[in-house]
Order: sequence, then structure tokens, then C-alpha cells
Amino acid sequence: MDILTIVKANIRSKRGTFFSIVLLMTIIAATMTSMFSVRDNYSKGFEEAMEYADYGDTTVIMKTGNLTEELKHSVENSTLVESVWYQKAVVGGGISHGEITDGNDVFLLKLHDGIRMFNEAADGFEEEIPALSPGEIYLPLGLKSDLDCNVGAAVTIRFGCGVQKEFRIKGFVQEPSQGSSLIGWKQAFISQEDFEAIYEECIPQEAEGITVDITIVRVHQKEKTELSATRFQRLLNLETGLVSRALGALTSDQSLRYSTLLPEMIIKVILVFVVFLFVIVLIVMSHSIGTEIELEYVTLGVLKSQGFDKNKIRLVFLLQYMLAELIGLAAGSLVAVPIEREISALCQTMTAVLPDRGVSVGKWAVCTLVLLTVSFLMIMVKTRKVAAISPVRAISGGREEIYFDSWLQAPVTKKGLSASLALRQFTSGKKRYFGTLCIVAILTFFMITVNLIGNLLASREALAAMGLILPDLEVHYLEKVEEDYRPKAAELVESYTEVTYKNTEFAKYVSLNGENLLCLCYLYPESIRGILKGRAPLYENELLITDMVAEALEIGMGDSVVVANGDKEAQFIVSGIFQSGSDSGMTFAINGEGAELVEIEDIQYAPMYFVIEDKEKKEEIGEAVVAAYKDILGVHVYDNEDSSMLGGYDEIVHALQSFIYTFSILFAFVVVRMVCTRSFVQERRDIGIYKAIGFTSGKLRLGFALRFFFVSLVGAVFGMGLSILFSDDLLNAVLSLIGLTKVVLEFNAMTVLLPTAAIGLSFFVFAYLASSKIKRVAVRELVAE
Amino acid sequence: MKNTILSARGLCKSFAHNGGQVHILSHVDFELYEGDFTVIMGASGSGKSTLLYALSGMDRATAGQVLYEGENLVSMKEKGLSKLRHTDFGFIFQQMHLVSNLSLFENIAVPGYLNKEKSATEVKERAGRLLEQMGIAHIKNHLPSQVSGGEQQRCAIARAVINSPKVLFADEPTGALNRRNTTEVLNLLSGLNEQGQSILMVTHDMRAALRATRVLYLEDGAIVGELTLPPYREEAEKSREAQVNAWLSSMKW
Repeated sequence: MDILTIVKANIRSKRGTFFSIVLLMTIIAATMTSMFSVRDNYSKGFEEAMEYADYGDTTVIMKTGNLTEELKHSVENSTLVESVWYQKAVVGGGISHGEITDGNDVFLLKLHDGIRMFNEAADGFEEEIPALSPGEIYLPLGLKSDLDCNVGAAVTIRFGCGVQKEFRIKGFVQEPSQGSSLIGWKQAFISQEDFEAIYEECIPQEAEGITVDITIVRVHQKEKTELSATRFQRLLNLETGLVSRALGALTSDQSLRYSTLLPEMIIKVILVFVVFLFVIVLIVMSHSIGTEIELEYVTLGVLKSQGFDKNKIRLVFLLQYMLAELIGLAAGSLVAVPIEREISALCQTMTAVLPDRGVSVGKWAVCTLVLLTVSFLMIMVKTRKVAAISPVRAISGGREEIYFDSWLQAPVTKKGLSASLALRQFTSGKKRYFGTLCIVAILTFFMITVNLIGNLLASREALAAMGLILPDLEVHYLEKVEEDYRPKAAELVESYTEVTYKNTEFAKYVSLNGENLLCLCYLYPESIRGILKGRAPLYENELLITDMVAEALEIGMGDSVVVANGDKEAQFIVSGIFQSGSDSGMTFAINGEGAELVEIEDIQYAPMYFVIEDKEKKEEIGEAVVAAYKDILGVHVYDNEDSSMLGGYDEIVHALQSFIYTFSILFAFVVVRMVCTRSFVQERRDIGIYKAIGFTSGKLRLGFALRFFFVSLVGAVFGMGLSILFSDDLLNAVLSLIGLTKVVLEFNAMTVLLPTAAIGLSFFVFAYLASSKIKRVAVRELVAE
Repeated sequence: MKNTILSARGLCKSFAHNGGQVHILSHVDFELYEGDFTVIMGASGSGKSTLLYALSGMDRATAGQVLYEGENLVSMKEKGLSKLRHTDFGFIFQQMHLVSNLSLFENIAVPGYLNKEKSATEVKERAGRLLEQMGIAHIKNHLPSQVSGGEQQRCAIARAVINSPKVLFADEPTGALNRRNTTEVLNLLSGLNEQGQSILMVTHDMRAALRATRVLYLEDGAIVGELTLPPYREEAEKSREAQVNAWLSSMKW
């Protein structure tokens, strides 16, 4: 009872500190709980969607002509396979809504069971999915944001055979296999009448090498095999050659990975940030306990003289701070529920599946326990000082002098007196500001790091160095011709300006050691960027793999591998490791001769991409190429500002920047408020002295704010140091999700100045506001009666 | 005829306490003459320090006027009072109150830096001279916590006079010092007075009172007695002490 009375009294008298910790812990608990819940809910939602759609472990897209009875038989009778189902589809070459076009292939299927239509708010499903009439289409939700379209809007689909059809969107459906905005292929559903009409119209074109008729093969593995979907697909391919003969394949694991890629990126960064926010809370609490012991020396001594032993006093501290944490954790967990809903809704346009709802109680409980345990240990360590309090000394008013060190003292000068005094306050009490310095360093580190991600995605040079080329010009064939006109076009381009990159790139899904992977074929392998180890594939039997492929297939440089394109197989040697954002890093690269070796013939007509020195001449060069090779070559001029090649990554980075900047400034506010309040109590006498010798309140407040500004600047310098040391590790971990395993950091003035300015200004303003109490300090307080 | 440098008219100071009013100063009229060393004495709780703080503008009176160069300090804004504190007034506290993270030199120089009429070089030179005068030049770079109480008080005196104030206020400047340091501090104050410095000091120390040229006695917030003395001379201290003692006895001290 005696302890509770003191705890209550302490909370009453230190309401500011108590509620600051509650607020900080609320932010941490809300962010952490909602992030874990979003992640879990998407996984559960995806699993449920896959189960409902009955898509199985792997989806293989076959040219119907390649799906022979023999192949079907071998798949259906595989010891690994439980069941297989087939569905015919026609291939569309791109889908447009108004000015917006998604150029990826879209597979049009007849509506079948297992498809659910989202309701208007996309937060649930309609009970039944209405049948489609001619001219109507169901689109996967991922296209809603990609095409910026709604129910009732008209979309146009082009087909390779030259046919173009307009459809009215009847609704958006959940399509877990390829519905995500991050997966290139899309499945859409049309009426039987439309399907048959398109089929009839286009099928004669297949004879001319245009793919129209495809079959989507869904394969379920036997339950007892208990293989991961990826491993199952690989073994199935080794056994039957199904994937090697396919246009492409996607396992359920890959669908989940690609669908949740962007939310996963955000969650990863935010969770790391939250961990550091908790470190900040620990620093704040540690500082608060330290100064409380210092300032309440007399009270604590009196308590000791009244029979409170050190353990009871430590218990008071423990209860006081743990109670604040518990309230914060509870409040944060409640706040997490609406936050989780909002974030899930935001991510749904990318994932295109309906997430599960609710808080991940298990993870919440584990995290809460970890946070409380760490806090408990910190409080116990920090309150060890209580044992040293002497009741006799305390009762005689003898609290310990605040220690000022004399190392590296800033001089006090007439010019800029407030600033020089502020600097002196800081330099003479460095230990007192150590915690604040750490906090600023952490916040600045994150602010710089998130800026670095932004720089990375905004810098063509940085992206190119990592293998992501954003071309200025694309020269493509308008029709198949005998002669290769691309080198001539390249010469023409080079006659206008220096070409910093040129290559002919063609991508096709083939099998590498049985694994269906995107194979990038380059006619100019020496131009391949982003090589991390070894060298480019200069010989026909050489290939480059990414770190991710190396890890997944357990292969490395110098290893011999088998590449299979349908029935055509060839042995290659891994000549190096590179990084690529294609297929989020699950890719490998060969040269043109290597492509011929496995009969990837399309490279003969693949487009050539150019990055030119003089961007101003793009249009002019484009027109010149078109004029010179009219009817043979077409040109696409890319907009330099166009970040569409980066998908939604730039939006994600902006969201991350907003989150980290907002919470950094909020934390700065709470930290400054707490530290300033303590400093104010510690320095009340000095404030009175300064007033007595002629300082105005305004001047003292300016000095107070400047001091915290200087602390924040020094902290920001430490933050820069942390960033130089660790930002690349953090970014490598995050960007490895999209295939970039070795980032090239581009520090520039804004990267560093913006966080420094934001944090410095926040500290200055918040400290100035917090110092308003200076006005209330009267010189009269210095009188000893 | 002496010039009045600071005066008070009907000065009152009261505090709210337990629903009522406690009157500390009641209608005090007061004149401080230029070049005088005036000491205010009185029993504990008589309102000496309150009067000193009200006269120096460190605290505001509840009613009445404190007039300095035609301005009423009671109604003066904080900015004006702050300016007075680093131009015309100097203040010495009983507990010294030096800024703990500034060296002795800096403690003296900082109020000088506030004075816009003096350059940094002038301030530094004057601070250096004052350090010499106070006998603490050899420890000028020490922090207050590294020097004795007497040295701290000498530093506080130097700080108070760095801007050559017209009035030097001192609140029990020897109250926290031992006998030897007390004598040293009083000698310094006497020396300053000899150079023409007007001083208003509150004390209950007889030895300090002996340095005065005018002693006022305060009782229950009102000045009830006044003693005028010739300038202090050490050789005449005994007879001066007897005179002051007799007067204080008449005041029932």
C-alpha cells in the first residue's frame, strides 16, 4: 500500500514523463502489431484465396499445341501429382483504359468456378458471381489501380492477330495466382460467346508464329509429398519436362511472394524502424530515471530514513515506468486494429487478394513480452544507483553536484552570446546529452536511409550500376525481316550523340536445372550491368546468375548447369553473379549465341535499347530512325521522368519517407519535451542567475533552443556516420526482396541536409516551445531567507 | 547636499497566505544617496531582503513606487529591468550564485558581454583587472565548484561591478563565509565605496554594518531608525562599533 501511494504520487507529479512514455509505447505497439497483423493477414488471405480457387501448387502456361497427350499423360501419372486441371485461354497482348495501357500479356478465360467477385468497397465478396454477357469482362483487382479504372468502364484488349476488342468491366475478381499488380501476366474472364469469337478469329494466325491458343495447367501435388511448391515444380519438371515446354510457370510460393512484395518491403523497413524507436524509448526512460534519482535525491534519502529499503524504492521506479509501458502497449494494440485495416486496404490494390482480418495475437504477445522484459532489465540496471543514496547526506540537503567536464569546452564570446553559451551548456555537460545524441543519430540514420532508397530509385545511373537499365530509346521491329537492321539503327543513333548503353534484350521463361526461371538474353553481353562477381557470358555456353538463383538452386560460379527450352537442352557454365530486378531477382542471363543454342529464336527480333548522353536529342533521333527505316523499325521514346518501369516502388518509397519523417519528428517532439523539462528543473537556479545579471527570458529561451539545436546537429553527424556504415546493409536486406542484393548508394547534399534540417529545426522549435517555463522563473527564487 | 540615486515611495509587498494577506513591507519610503554605503539591518523576517529585491527591481512591489532616473521600476517591463541589471545595477547574493559551468573569468565577463556599449576586448580587459583586484586572477579558469566560498564571493562581486553599475546591491554577502573571507569581502566592498560606488547592502552581521556610512533599521516591514556614520577607517573601528552597538540596542536588536 505504501508503495502504491508513492507510485500514485510520482505519476501525479510527473504526468508529463508518464504520458510521454505512454504515447511513445502506443506508437510502437500500434505500428508493430499492425505490421505483423498485415503480414499475417495477407498470408492467410492468400492461402484462403488459393484454396478457394483450387489453383494447386503450380500454374503452368502452355501453348496448347505443345501440350501433347503424351505430356499430359506423364504429368497426370507422376508419382508427385494428385490432380491436374486444364483451362483454355486466348492471349491478349495488352489492355488499355483510356490513355493508360498495361502492355503485359493478358490471358482471357471463360468464367469458371472458384472465382469470387469483390463487392463495391472491395472489402468482401458478392455472394454470387453473375454470368457474363458478350462484351463484359471481369478483371483482377490488381488491374484496377494499374489502369485506374472502375466497374462500368470500357477497356480495350489488343490481340496478336490484329483484332482489338472493347469490353465493359462488370466487376473485379480475386485472382490469387496472377492478380497482383506486381505480376506481369494477368488472367481475365470473358463470356463464352466472346471467347469463341476471338478464338475463331485469331486461331488462323497461329500458323504465322503468333501465340493465341494457350492452356493453363494447374497441378496439385500429393499431400504426402510435403514439398514446397517451388521444389515440387522443379521435381515435376525434371520428371516430365512440363515447365521446360511452357511459356511460363508460377508456383503458389512465387505468387504469394510477388503479391506481397511491396507490403513486405514496407513492413521490413518499418519493423526495423520500430525496433530502433523502442531503443529510443529505452534511452528516454534511462535518462528520465537517472535525472529523477539526481533531482529527487533528498526525497529518496528521506524515504530511506523512513524505512524504505533500496528494493522498495526500486520497485517504485519499476511500477511507475512499467505501468506507463503497459498502458501504452494496451492502447497501441487497440489503435492497431483500425491501422491494420487501413494499411491492408491500401495494400490490397497491390496484392489483389482479400486479406484476413484481425490482430495476430500470438506475435503481439511475444513482442509485448520481449518489450516488457527488456524494459524491466533496463530499469533494474538503471536504478542500481538508489543503493548509493545516503539518508544522512540527503536530509542535510546534500545532493550530488552536477558534474561538468572540462574537456572540449566551447568558448563564451560576446558576438553570438546566446549561441556560445548554448554551445558551452552542451559541451560542458556532454554526458547529459549522450542519450539525446543517440536518439538523434538513430532518427537521422533512418531519415537518411529512406532518402537513399529514394535516390536509388530516382537515379538512372545508380539503377544502371545495379543492372536496372532505364532506356531513353527502344528500337523494335515492325515486321520480321531477313536482314538485321538494329546495328544500322545503332550507328544512326551514335551519329547524333554518345551512347552510354545499348543492348538487345529478350526475356523468356526457360528451365535452369529444372527450375522455371526468366532467362534474359543479350546480344551485347559486354554491356550487361550489375555484375557482382566473375564476368559477363562472353561465350555461348556461359551464363550469369543472381545471388537469389545461386541460393535457390545451390549453384555457384564455375558450376555446370542445364538450360532447357522445351525439348532443346544445353549445358552452360556459370561465369559470374549479377543482380537484376527482373522477376525480383529470380533470373539468369545468357548471350545471343547461348540463346541460339537452346533455340530462343525470338532474340532475332527483340528490341534494342539505348541510353544516350544527350537526352535533349531523344525525339530527334527517334524521328530520324523512323524516317530511315520506315515500315521496318519502330521507335519508342521513354520519358526520363517516367518511373513506370519501377512499378509502384516510388510510391512505396514516398509512403516510407512520410512515415519515417512523421514519426521521427513526433519522437523528436516527445524526447525534446521530456529532456527539456528535466534540464529546466536541473538548471532552474542558473536561469535565475542569468536573469539576475540581465538576460531576458527571450534570450534565455533562444539559448535553450539553440543548445538543443546544436545537440541535434552533432547527433545528426553521428547519424550520418551510422548511415555511411550501415545504410547499405539495411538497404541490401530490404531491396534483396526485389532482386537487388548489392546496392549502390548515392549520397548527395539533400540526402543528408534534409534530415539534418528537419531534425534540427524540430529540436529548435520544440525546445523553444518547451522552454516557455523560463518566463516563470523569478530572480526572487535565488534569495536565501 | 547628497544626490538621491534611487528612491522608494509608499512601497508595499504582501503575499496571499491561508486566505489572507501577509504584509512584508508596509508603505516604505526610502532614499539612496549617490556614493553612500547604506546598510539595512533588522531581525529575521523583518523584510530586509524583500526590500532589497524590490528596490533593485529583482522583485516587484505590490504597491508604491521605486524611482530610478525618473522611471518607476514597479511598472517597468521585463526588458527594461533586464537592461538595468546589466547596465546600472549590480547584485551580490548571499549564496554567490555563480553559473556552475562557466569559469570565474567567464562568470565575470558574461554580464559585460550583454552591455552593448562595451567591446569584447574592453570587457575582457576589465574582467582581467577585476580578477586582479579581487585577488583571484590565478584561478580565473577554474569552475566555481573548484574554488573556496570566499573566492566565489569575490568573483560574484567582480561580476556585479563589471558594468560599473551606479548602484551595487548586496544581500548578506558575507552570510555564507568564514571570518577571514568575510573580512576580505568587506574590504573589497569598502574599497569600491571609497572609489565612489553607491552600495545598498542587507546584513545582520555587525562587522558588515560597521562599513556603512548610513544604517537603516527595519522592523515589521517599515524603516524605524537611521544612523549616519563617517566613512569607514580601520583604526577607528572600535569606537564605530560601540556607536553602532549602542544604536542597535536602542532599536531593540
